[in-house]
Amino acid sequence: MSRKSEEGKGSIKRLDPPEEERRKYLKTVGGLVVGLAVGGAAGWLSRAPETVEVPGPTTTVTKTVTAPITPTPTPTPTPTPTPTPTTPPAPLELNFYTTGHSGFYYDVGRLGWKPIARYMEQNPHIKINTFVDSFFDVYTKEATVFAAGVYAWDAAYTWGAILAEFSEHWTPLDEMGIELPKEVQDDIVPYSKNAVYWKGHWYGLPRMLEIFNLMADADALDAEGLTFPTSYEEFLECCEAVHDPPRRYAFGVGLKEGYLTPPYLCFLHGNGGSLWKDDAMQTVVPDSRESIRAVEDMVYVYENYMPPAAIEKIAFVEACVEWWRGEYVFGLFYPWITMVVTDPESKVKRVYPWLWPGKKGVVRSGSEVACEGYCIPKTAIHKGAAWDFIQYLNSREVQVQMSLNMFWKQENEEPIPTRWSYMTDDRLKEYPYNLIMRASLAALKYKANRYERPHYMAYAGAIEAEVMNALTRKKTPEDAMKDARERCDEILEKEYATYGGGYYDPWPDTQKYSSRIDDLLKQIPVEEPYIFPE
Amino acid sequence: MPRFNREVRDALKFLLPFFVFLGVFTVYPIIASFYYTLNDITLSHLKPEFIGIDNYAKLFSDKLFRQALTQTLLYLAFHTAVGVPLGLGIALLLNEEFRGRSFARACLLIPWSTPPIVAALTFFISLNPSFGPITYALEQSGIFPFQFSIFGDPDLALFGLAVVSLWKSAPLFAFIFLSALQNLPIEAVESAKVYGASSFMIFRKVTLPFLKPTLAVNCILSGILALSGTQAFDIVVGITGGGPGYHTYMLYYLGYMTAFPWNDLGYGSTISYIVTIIAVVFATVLLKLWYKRA
Repeated sequence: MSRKSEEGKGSIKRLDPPEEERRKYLKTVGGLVVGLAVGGAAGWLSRAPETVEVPGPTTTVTKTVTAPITPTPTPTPTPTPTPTPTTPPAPLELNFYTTGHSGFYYDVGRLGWKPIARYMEQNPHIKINTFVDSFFDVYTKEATVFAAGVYAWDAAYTWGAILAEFSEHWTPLDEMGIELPKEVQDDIVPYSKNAVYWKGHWYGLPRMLEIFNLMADADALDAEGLTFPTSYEEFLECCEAVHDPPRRYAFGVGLKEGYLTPPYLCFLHGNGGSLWKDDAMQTVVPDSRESIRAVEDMVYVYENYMPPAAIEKIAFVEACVEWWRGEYVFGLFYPWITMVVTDPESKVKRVYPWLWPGKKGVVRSGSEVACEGYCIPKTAIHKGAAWDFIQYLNSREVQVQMSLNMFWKQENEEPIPTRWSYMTDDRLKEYPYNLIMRASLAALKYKANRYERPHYMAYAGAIEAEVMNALTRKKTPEDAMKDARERCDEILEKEYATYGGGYYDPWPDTQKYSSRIDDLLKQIPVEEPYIFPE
Repeated sequence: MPRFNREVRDALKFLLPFFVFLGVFTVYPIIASFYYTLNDITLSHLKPEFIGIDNYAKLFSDKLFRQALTQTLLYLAFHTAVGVPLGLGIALLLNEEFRGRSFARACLLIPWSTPPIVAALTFFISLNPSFGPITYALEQSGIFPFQFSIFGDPDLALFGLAVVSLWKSAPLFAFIFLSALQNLPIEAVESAKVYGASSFMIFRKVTLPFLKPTLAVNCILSGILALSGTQAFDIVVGITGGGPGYHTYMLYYLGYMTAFPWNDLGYGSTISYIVTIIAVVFATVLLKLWYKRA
C-alpha cells in the first residue's frame, strides 16, 4: 500500500514540476511560438510581390496575332527592330485549374500526347501546377475561391454559367489591353463563345465543344432491316422493333439528377420548344406546351424502352459500360461514345452517329451543346503568361490532339475542336473521327442551346427535380412542370434584379454559319452506309 | 483589471490557442451567418444588402422548405425511435456472456469508425439496381423486382437513407448503453432474482430505470446526428443528392444547396439557423421531460 502511494506521489511530482522548472518550460514553449511567428512573418514579408503582370497594350496586341490565335497566319512585314541583348525570361509558376472529365488537359490522354509537359518543354522558364477537380465540384470550388478574393489560379476552367454568375471575378481581355482579332472571333463556334464571352467582353478562349447526337448500334439496326430514324416517330418505331429486355434495351441514357437537363433539352428542342422566351427578362418557361410534351415523351420512352435503373445513372457517363457491352441499341449523348468501335473488346462493332430526330412536321432535329473554356481570374498573378498559355491550349495542334484523344470511357471524354477552321484537319477526316465530326457539324445546324445564364444552376436544379417527379410518376408532367415554373419565377426575379437580362443567345449567330457548315460537311469524306439525310 | 495568480495566468496562456481557434472557427461563423440571415448576400456579390427578417418570412411561403422540414422531422423521428431501441438491444445482447463476445464488440466499432461518405458509397454501390451485389441477391431470391431501386423510388429513398444512417449510429448508441450497463449494480439484479423476478421484470424494473439518463443522452445524440451535417449530410450527398425529385432533401442539405450551388448565402444561412433551432428545441424538450420524470 505504502509502496503504491509512493509511486503515485512520484508520478504527481513529475507532472507538476517546481515553479522554476515550469517557468523554464513556459519560456521555452513561448520562445518557440514567438520564434515561429516571427519567422513566419519574415517569410511572408520576403515573399515574391503579388504584383499583377499586365503587359503593355502594344506588346499584348502583338501577342494576339501570334500563330496559335490566327487560323491562317499571314505574316505582315514589319520593320526589323535593332537587335538588343536579350535576357532570359524570369522563371515563373502558373497555377492551372481544370476539370477531371477531360484527362487530356492534365496529361493523361489516351494517346500519350501531353499538352502541359510540351508547353513546359517549349517554355523552360515556366512551371505549370495543374489542379484538377470533378466537374460537379468545380462550381462550388470556384465560387468559394472568388468569394474569398484570394489568389488560387492564373488560368482556370469555366463555362457559360460560371462566367456569367461570377463575371466580376474574371478578367476581361480588353482590361488587359488585348483585342481578339476579328478573324479569330469569326472562327470560334458561337456556342463555344458562350463559355468565354459575357455582355460584350471576351474573357478567354474556349477549350471544347460537344453536342448531343443519337448513336445507334449499326449492326443491331441493320439486322432488323431498319434505317436510321429521321423523325421522333420513326425513332419510336425502331425502338419497338429492337427492344428485347433484359438482354437488350432499345434506348439508353442516364436520367439521374445532376445531368438530366441535357437530355431534357433534346426532347424539348425535338418538340420545337425553347427554354426561355425572347422577352427582356429572358423568362424561363418549363411549363410551355412543348416542354410538357417533352417530359411526356421522356416518361414514355423511359417506361417502355429503357432499363429501370436509368434513373440512377448520371448522363451517359455511367451507362457507357452497358453501351460497350451492346445492351443498348440507341444512345443519346455526346458522340465520343462512338469510339467503342476502336476497342477490340467492345460488343458494338459499328456505330451510326447522327441527328437526334425531332417530331414529324415540327422540326428535323434539335439537341444540346456543352462548351467550356479557360479564363483568367481577377486575382491571377501572371495574367500575361496565363493568356499565352490559354492561346496555346486553343491552338490548332492542341485542339486537334484533344479530339484525337477521345475514347468511349468517361475519363477520355474529349470533344471536338472549338474553331471552324480546325474541324477539317486531315487527321479528323479519318474513320471514325469523320463520323463524329460530321454528326456534330450536322447537329450544329439545329437548335442546341443550353441556356446558360447567371442562375443556371438554380434553374437546372428546379427543372431536373420536377422532371424526375414526372419520371417517377409522383406528378403528372403538366403538374411537375408548372411547379418547376413557379420555382423558376422566384429565381428569375432575383436574377433579373442582379444581372438585368441581356444574356447571350448563340443560336441566332450559329444560324449565320449554316452555309459554312455545309461546306465543312462536304470536306469531310464519308462512305455508305454512314451517309444519312440531313 | 482583475489580478490573477500565476497558476491562472499560466492556465490562460495554455488555453489561449484554444479560445482563438474557437473564436475564429466557431463563434465568428455563428455571428457572421446570423448577420447573413438578415441580408441579401451571394457568393458572387459579397456586398450585403440589409433586408431585415425577409429571409425568415420567406420560409413560410417556400414549398421546398416545408417539404424539407417534414422530411427532416420524419427522418429524425425514425432515427431516434428505431435507432435508440436498436442500440439498447445490441448492448443488452453484448452484455451477456457468450463465446466471441469480445470479437462481436470489436466488430461493432466498424460501422461507427467508417467515414460517413464511405458508408454512403458502400450502400450506394451495394444497392445499385444495375450492379449492386445486394440488389442482385435479392432479385435472384425473388424479393426484389428486376433492377429495383430503393434510392430511386420517391417513397422509399428517405427510408433507405435512414437505414444507412442507423447502420452507423446504432453501434454508437449500443456502446454508450453498454458502458452504462457495466455499472449496473449487480446487488439489485441479484436481489430481484432472489425474489423470483423474471428477466423481463428485471429489465423493466431495474435495468431500464438505471439506464434512463443514458437513454436521454442517446436520444439527444440521435437527434443531433440526424440533424447535423457531420453524418446525415454525407449520406445524402453520397447516395441521392437530394433526389429523386426533392424527396430526400433535408434542411441541412437544402441550406447547403441554397447557399452554394444556388448561390443565395443569406437564405441558405437562414435555413441552417432553423436546423440549429430545431436541434436546441429537441434537446431541451427531451431534457425537460427527463428532469420532470426524475
